Parts: sequence; structure tokens; C-alpha cells
Amino acid sequence: MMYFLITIIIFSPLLGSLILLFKNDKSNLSTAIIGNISIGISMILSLFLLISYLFDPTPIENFTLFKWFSSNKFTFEFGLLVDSLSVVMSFIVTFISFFIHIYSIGYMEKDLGFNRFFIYTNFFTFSMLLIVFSNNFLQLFVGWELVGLSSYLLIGFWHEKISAVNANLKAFIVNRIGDIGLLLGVILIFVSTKSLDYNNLFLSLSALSEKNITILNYSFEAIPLIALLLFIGASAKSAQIPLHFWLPDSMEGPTPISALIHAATMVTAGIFMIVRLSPLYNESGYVLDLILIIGTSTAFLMGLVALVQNDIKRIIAYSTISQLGYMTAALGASYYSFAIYHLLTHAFFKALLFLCAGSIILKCHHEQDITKMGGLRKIMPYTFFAYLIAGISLMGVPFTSGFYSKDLIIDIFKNNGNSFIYYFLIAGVFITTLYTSKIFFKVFFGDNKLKIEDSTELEHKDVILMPLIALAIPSMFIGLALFDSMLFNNYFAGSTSDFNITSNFYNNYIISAFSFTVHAFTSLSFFVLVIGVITSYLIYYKEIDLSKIFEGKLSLIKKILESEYGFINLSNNYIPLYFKKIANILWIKSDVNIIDNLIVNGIANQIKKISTRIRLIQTGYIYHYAFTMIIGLMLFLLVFFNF
Amino acid sequence: MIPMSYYLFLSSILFSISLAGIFLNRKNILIMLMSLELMFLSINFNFIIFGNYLGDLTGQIFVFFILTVIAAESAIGLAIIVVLYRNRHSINVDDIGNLKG
Repeated sequence: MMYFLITIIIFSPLLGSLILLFKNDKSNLSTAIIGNISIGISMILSLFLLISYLFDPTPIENFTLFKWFSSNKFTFEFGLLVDSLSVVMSFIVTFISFFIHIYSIGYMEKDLGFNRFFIYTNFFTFSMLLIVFSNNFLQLFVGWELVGLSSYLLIGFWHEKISAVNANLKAFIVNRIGDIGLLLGVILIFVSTKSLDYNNLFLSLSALSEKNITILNYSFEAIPLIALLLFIGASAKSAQIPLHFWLPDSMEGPTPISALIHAATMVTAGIFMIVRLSPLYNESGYVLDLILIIGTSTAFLMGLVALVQNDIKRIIAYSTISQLGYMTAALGASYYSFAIYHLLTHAFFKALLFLCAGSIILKCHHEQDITKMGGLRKIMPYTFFAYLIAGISLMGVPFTSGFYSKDLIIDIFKNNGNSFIYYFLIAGVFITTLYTSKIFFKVFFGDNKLKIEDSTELEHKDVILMPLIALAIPSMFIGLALFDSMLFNNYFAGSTSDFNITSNFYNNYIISAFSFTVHAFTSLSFFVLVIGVITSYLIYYKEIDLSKIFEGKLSLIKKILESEYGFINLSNNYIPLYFKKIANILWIKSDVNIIDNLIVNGIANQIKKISTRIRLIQTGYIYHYAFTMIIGLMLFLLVFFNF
Repeated sequence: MIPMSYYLFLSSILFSISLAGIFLNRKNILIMLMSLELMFLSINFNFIIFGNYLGDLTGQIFVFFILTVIAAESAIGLAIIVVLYRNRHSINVDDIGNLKG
């Protein structure tokens, strides 16, 4: 029963993608129907699974789908691991994917690549589900690469735009760096445990903790090294410092893609993997501290960059990086289920934010600069409403989804006395408030600079507005609805290793969702939030010019932020420049000189030279040939018969 | 009784003449073919001599087979020369130098 259910969930999007690939007619309608139904089936089944798991989270099922290959001692099987964690993830992926597919029908309507778009997105959903349900590292790696590929294809969806091509190249190459880390980690696991199954790794952890791995005469403890290498892979996928800079550029893709892949699902694959491997990370010691530091600095520093951006999608992209930083910080503190919880709520409100941005961009005729927009509140009431909900959820206003997950993460550090991290994350809340309301005030209030006429009909077609409403509901309520049942009802007990600390945390500190909410009004983060809203109201609505107040003092910081800590220059100019130089040297010195001139052409030239001499032996006189034959025969006789 | 070495001398002289005919002939390809025939005959001669000497008839019977082969071979050779003449209007050895490097 379960077996068929999961198989349908995973392979229905793949089937949809294949049908679209070989579809003959050019009509958009059939593409939309096939693309949406295939995801819809997965979505409904995932929802059903989630509900059944919310009632009883204990069943952990481990299937083998089929044998992929076997070598001498090692058999690789495609398997499915179904537990509370993978069920939640598959719900997030399919639910958001489904509504974004509906949205895309309206958004991509006039695009010539309509069919291609749905092929890619369906394929992406399949590969993401492959990661979510995998029960071994090789399958994880396959899915990991396939989501990378779909991301690459979709960022460069408008491949006639040079900036899109550069962006997808950047995304692919940066992810490749992470993939090296992931692959090395997987190889080390295979070398030291002789198996690639998750379960096998968890069972052999105690044996592994005494193992050392020697590389070039340096000896490393096995577990931290593996954990570190896997984290490199996760940090590239989940856009953590210093491998984050591909994500803002990936906004070159269509906006539904930014919502689906680069906000809600694919970028969370790194977080998901670490949660999945939580028993390994629990043993990894200093790597957890590193993860904590990277997560916190990403959350704080990348939020700052969002303040100086003017492109609406880039702001939200930096916000995504910053929120992923919060999740990573929770991972670093070993509160894995909190990270997954924030992943869940973040997926909804961030996807909604991007869909709002897409709706705005569509209305503004593909203008993305928020300083040129304004006064859209009356023209786009639905988008305004949806953005408001997503925005307050992102800021963490009490009762919204974002509040329950984000404040939980912040409170971890209040509780365990790590005040340094705590204040950084609180500062992150302030920054989040600023950039969220910056978009809010600049886009929806003020003068209608773009002169967009208020038509009597609806702001957009229903297919665009419906997903906004559908995602606004979970963005608002899912945090409260699932708070007790998912976080503290032993829900993740079977799949993550943080059960003891979270239940401890709950009993001593949270007590219930209600008391958590009430308590939040007295907390520092709420205070900071209010200050942030007031500040942004003054700056962005009343438009008080800050630069006069902080004359000179802020200009240096602003410069640093505008250059995105130098990553823009680094990734657009320096690295390509030096690589070009190295490539030039390699091209001229090694390719042209050695391979072309010495080896390929060189051999041919030498043969030509030698043969021009040798061919003179062919005199063309028959008696010479006869003579040679006779002499040859005589020599032959001499040698072999010893005359 | 003529000693056997006389026969062998005769046969090797015949062989050398035909060899020289192939090497030294630069005029006519027909002469070359004739030299080949002569070479075969000198070898046949050897067969007969040794067959007689050893009292074994096999050598002399073998000569008949070889003669048949020679006949077939010279027929092919002449046919080639006829075709060659049709194409080139010459059977001069010096004119057939296409393989010259």
C-alpha cells in the first residue's frame, strides 16, 4: 500500500514530464493540464500521507524499488525511506510545486517555451522527491545532481538573454564546488563503512568515531571530516557564505522558478540533508560550531545586503539566503526539527513573496526596480493582501507562521545562553523588518510612477490570483496549526536525533503554543520588530533622508554592502578574469603547442617527412622488384635454413 | 654414364639465364614471361634428376602437375599482357612505371 503510494508520488511528475516531452500538439491547454495533474496527484497523496503521519508518526518504512547495479561486493539499490521527515518534505515540495504550476499557467502564458517550462518544472519536482525519499547516499547524489541540472536549465530558461546564461553558468559552477565536497564525503563514507545506506551509517557510527582518515600524512577524525565535506555540499546548495553568490543571480530565471526552486524547495535540500543525517552531525563536534557560525553570519550579513538592493527579486533572494542562515544556525545548535519547521513555514511565505513579486513584475511590464514603482495598492488589491501576509510572516509578527518558526530558533540561543549568536539573530530580525517593509512601502504606497492604469477588470487572471490566496492561508496559519503536533508531539522522534533536547526545551521553556505566543509579546525580538516597523515607516514611507543624518558615516558601509562584500566583483570579474588567463595559457601552451603541434600534427608531419624519403625505394622498374624478391627469398633461405 | 653434377650444372645454368633475363631485360614484357617459363623448366629438370637418382617416380609425376600450373599461369600472364596492351598500346617494360614513388 505505502509502497505504491510513494512510487506514485515520486514517478507521477516524471511521467508528466515525459509525456510533455513527447507531446505532439502545440496547444498550451493540454500542456497545462498534463503538467498540473501529474503534480496534483503527488500533492494529494502527500497531503494524505502527512495527515496520517500527524496522527501516528511512528511508522518508518524502508523499501527497495529496484536493483540498479551490483559490483563484486556492493549492490546498489534504488530505495525509499518513508518516515515523518520525508513525508513533511514531500508535502512541502509537492504542495508548493502544485500551486506554482498553476501560477505558471498564467505567468508563462505568452511565452514560446510554455511546454519546455513545464517539462523542466515537472522534472525538477521528480528529482527533488528523489532526494526526499532516498534511503542511501548514491540516490541522494543522483537527485542532488538532477535538481542542480533542472535549476541550471530553468535559470537559463530565457537563453537568448546573455545575463541569464551567465547566471545559470554561475549557479552550476558554484554548485559544482559543493558537489565535490558532497561526493568526497560520500566516498569517505563508502570507504570507511563499506555501504552507502543511511541506516548502515547510523549503525556504524560508534565504530566510525574511533576511526581516523589519513590524507597526505595528516590524520583526521573520520566523523568530523565526513560531516564537514557533506556540509560543503549542503552550503553550496543552500546558499551559505561563502558559496551563496549564485542565488541572487539565479533570479534571472522566470519568477515562478525563483519561487519554486530558489526559495522554497531546492535551496532547502542542503538543510534537509543535514537533518536527515542528524545522528552523524550530533557526533561531529567542531563542525557543528562551524555550521552555527556560518549560519548566523549568513543570516545577519546577507540580510544587510538586501537593504541596499533595489531589484525586487534580488531583495527577496537575499532574504532567502538570510532565512536559510537561520535554519543553518538551528542546525548548528543541533535543533534539527526546528530547522525543518522553519523550512516548512519559510517555504510557504517565501514562495508567496516571490509569486507576489511575479504578479507585480507582470503588472509593471517587467520592470523590477522598486524605486520606479509605487502606488499599486489600489490597482492590485489581491497582491497587496497576499504580500502583506507573506511580509508579516517573514518579519515574524506573532500569530503568523514565520513567527512560530523563527522565534523558536532565536529562543534556542536565549535558552542555551549563547548571547553572541542571539543578538546577531535579533539584529537579523530588525534587518528583515526593514527590507520587507521597504518593498511594501515603495511598491504599494506613494505615487504611481509607472502610470499603470487602474483597469476595471481584475488585476490578473484567476490562475495567477488563486495560488496567491492558496499560499496565503498556510503562510498565515500553518505555523500555529502544526506547532504542537509537529514539533513536540514526538513527530520527528523517528527521524532526527534531537528528540531529547527539543522535548526538554519544550517542557521547560515553551509549555504550549499559546504561552509561547503570549510570551513573545514581552520578548526582545518583538520589541526589535516594532522598532523596525517604525523605522522603516519613517524611512520608506515618510522618506526621511537618512544620508543627511548619518552624513559620511554610513557611506563606507553602504559601499561595502552595495558591492555585496566584494562577491559581485569576485564572481563577475576576478575569478573569471584569472580563469581566463589560466585558460589562455593552457590553450596556447598546452593545447596548441603540445597537443596540436607536437602530438596530433607533429606525428602526421613526421610520417610525411619519413615517407617522402621512403617512397623513393619504389622505383617503378619491374626488374628492381624482381631483384628484391629474389634477394629477399635468398636471405629468407639463408636465415631459416642455415645455408 | 654422365655424372649427376653435369645435370645439376645444366639446371642451374638454365636458372641463372632466366634470372638474368628477368633482371636485365628492359624492353619487352613478353621476354620476361618467357624467362619465367624457363625458370620453371630448370626447376622441373631438377625434379627429374633427383627423381631418377633416388629411384622415386614421385618427382617425375610432380613435373606433370607443375607443367599444368605453368600452362595456366602463362595463360593468365598472356591475358594480362593483352589487356595491358589494349590500355597502353605498348608492352615496353619501361613504360610500366606507375608505382614509382
